[in-house]
Amino acid sequence: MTSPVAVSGLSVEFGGVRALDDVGFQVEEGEAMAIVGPNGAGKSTLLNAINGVVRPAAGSVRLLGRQVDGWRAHQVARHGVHRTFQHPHVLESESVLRNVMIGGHVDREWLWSPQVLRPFATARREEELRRECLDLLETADLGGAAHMKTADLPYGMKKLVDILRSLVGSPTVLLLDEPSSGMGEVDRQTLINLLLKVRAEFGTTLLIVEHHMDVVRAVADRVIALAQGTLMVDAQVAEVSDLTNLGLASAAHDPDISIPAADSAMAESLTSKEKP
Amino acid sequence: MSLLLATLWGGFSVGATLALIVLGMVLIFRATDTFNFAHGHFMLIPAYLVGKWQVENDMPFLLALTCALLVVSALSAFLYSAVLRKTVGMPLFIPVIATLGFAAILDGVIGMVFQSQLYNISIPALPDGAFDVAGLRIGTGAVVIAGFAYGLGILVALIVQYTAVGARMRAVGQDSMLASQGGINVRRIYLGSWIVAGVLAALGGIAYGSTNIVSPSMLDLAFLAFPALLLGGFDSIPGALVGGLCVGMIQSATSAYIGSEYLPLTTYSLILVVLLVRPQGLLGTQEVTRV
Repeated sequence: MTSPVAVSGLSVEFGGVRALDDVGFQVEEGEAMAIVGPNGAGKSTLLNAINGVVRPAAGSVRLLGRQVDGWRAHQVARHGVHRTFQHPHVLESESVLRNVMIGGHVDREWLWSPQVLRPFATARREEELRRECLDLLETADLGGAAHMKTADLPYGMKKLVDILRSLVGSPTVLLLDEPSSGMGEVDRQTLINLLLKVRAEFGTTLLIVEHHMDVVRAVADRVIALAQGTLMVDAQVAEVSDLTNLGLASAAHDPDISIPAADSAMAESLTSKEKP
Repeated sequence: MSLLLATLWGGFSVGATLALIVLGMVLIFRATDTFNFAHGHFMLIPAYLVGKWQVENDMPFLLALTCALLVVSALSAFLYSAVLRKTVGMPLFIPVIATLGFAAILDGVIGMVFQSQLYNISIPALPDGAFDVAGLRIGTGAVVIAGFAYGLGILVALIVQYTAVGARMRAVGQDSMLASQGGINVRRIYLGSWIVAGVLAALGGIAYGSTNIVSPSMLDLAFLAFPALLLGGFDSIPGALVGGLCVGMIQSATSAYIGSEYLPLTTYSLILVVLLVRPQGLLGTQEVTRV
């Protein structure tokens, strides 16, 4: 079995600015890899390039044994590679449960013909989806909030809802963009437990952009560090003695970036709290 | 009595064309958050084409209609994919200005090709006769046309509300990134919305041209789509039908009872009142108040 995620020579340009420069790595099946680095290092861009939101200028991406160059986001999602967003995409007006159930649309589309022609089978499928989503909510200690309006949840919980949405249908690969930014201590622990459970139960391969080193330490096996769009470090988490300095060390190659990674992480989590 | 009836009928039939134009604008707004200022031209050009081909080339109506719809689909698809797709992520007024520029170009093209000539569209299957209702003479063909326009509007509303394609359209309009994670091809939905909107405008224009005359002044009618859009709500499909009908009625009533020189005054005063009381329009969503 080849690696579920294989990136080689990946470069992304935004009007002359090189956001990613010749990045290459592989993630093995069932592995959890963290991507760290200072703000603007190209971490989110890397996820966007992998799941087809941005077109790379060069290089190629292989997902689950298929070359996905030129694929669009919806094709990657249907291929079993789901993702979450740094600023959670939830429908504020809908209930928490329904927001999670949206995740089922990749596998079972909303069609009127089966609803009319095979109403019982369709109702059963929807009931199954409901069950699955309620179980997922339970896993994240959000069972009690299932029927609350999503707008009433605090920011950290909205992020959990977005992550649960991406878990419907047990994705083979999951891309998480700063899952813990804007989360409090309690939500962060819930997140860590959730991700560990996902790894243990579904064997999902995880690719996590993350600033909080406790999350990296707890969840990830491997870590890569980006700075200015270039891959600086690729190491086993256990081998890195000072994770906080990893982002720093990669930033130190460029004298222009003076904000330590830890500070920028805090700054980011603050700003993201302000614009839910 | 017959003046009142004439007023109602006039408003109803103008409202039919307006409703189709506004419906297209709503679809475009829901999909790409843009107002299409070239929408009047999407109505005028196919009407002109059908008229010209029928009169000068003796083309059968159905062939002319098909060709005209293809032309407007191509124009609409071009405007979206060659111009508006490039403005993603830019401030909201940039795509609007882009459609305004496209409208100016089309204006020039219409002037060069058709030279403000007048055409009459004749639809062969349309019944010829007329009937009297309480002293008012109404053409049967005009009734069929108006009925067709409202029927089409209701059909589109039903499709958007009850079919899978409609559900995808609504999902993309609500959160395109989330929709793409649901496996929905966002770009295809955008393109589809634009093409359907263009075709609706074209059908509105051709319907209008078959009961009236195809002339550049049809663009004035298209500009009435903006008050109708405001009235019904930018993002409401039933609102498009209601808005079109209301503005048609206001127009008709003003010309009948006050005088047609007061048309802009009455139309826009009413819109102003609606905007003060309900900024989102009669049936619009609360959040859509930013423009």
